[in-house]
Amino acid sequence: MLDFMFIFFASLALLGGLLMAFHPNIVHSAFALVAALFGVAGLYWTLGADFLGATQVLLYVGGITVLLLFAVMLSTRDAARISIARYALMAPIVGLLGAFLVTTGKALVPIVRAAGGALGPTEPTTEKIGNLFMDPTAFMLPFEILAVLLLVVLVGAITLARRGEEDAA
Amino acid sequence: MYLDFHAVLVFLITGVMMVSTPMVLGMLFRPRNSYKEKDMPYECGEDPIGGAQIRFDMRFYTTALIFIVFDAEIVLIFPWAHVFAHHPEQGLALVAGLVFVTIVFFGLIYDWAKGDLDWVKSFRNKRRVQG
Repeated sequence: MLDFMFIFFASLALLGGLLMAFHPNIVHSAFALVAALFGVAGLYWTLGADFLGATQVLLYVGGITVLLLFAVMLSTRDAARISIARYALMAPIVGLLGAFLVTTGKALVPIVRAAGGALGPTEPTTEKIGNLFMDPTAFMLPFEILAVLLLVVLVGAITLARRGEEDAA
Repeated sequence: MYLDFHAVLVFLITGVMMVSTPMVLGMLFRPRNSYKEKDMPYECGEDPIGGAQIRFDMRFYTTALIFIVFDAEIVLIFPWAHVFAHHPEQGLALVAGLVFVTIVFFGLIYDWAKGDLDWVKSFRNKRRVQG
């Protein structure tokens, strides 16, 4: 069952990514990105990271894609015809980087095991994260600092977006 | 662990089935006599003018930006909500959550006061410049 789920989500992520890269229509590419990001969320779930997977669906599948689609719709028509061939040089670089990450990740497995860390499916993580957020000796301060970060993003992003609008007008 | 996500999986499969089943059935049974008017996007009987993929208003983008920030807030508040009911120190947990929400709420007040939530802000500004 686990192998089947892994293969299903991994192929969803791969096919979505390939479709995103090679589809001529950039709007369709954005929708293919939804499939790819959802596949990654599924991979998180098969690895036992339930909170991370839900975050991936909520923020990336639900939020970033909407933002991306709006960005496409805001750009001119010519921008929608950007060819992937222009970025062909990027492909081997990204591929090498991915291979490097996979090999270092595999090298890390025995080190994490030796340190007593759990790998792979364990128990749900959301409750643990919540308890750590509420613990003043653990992550309560970072939790509140995250709120400050969100505040900065809220003010900063809107200010930057509005400035672009005024320049365009 | 995976048992926790069986419900999600059932929802996903049911959702995909509910959309795909009528589409596949329609594909099998419908008559194929397509013509130009029939393929036209239908909008209350009005004939569409121009292309669908035009430039959109910038205000959609700012609204989406605000949405993502509050999306992130919900994601971060979720573990808190999950443990709150059974937390040994409920007062502390309540204060922590309230501080978190209040800090982000200041951002909402800022955007509200600056008129970024206002759809007709640009009209108002233009009128002010002209007058």
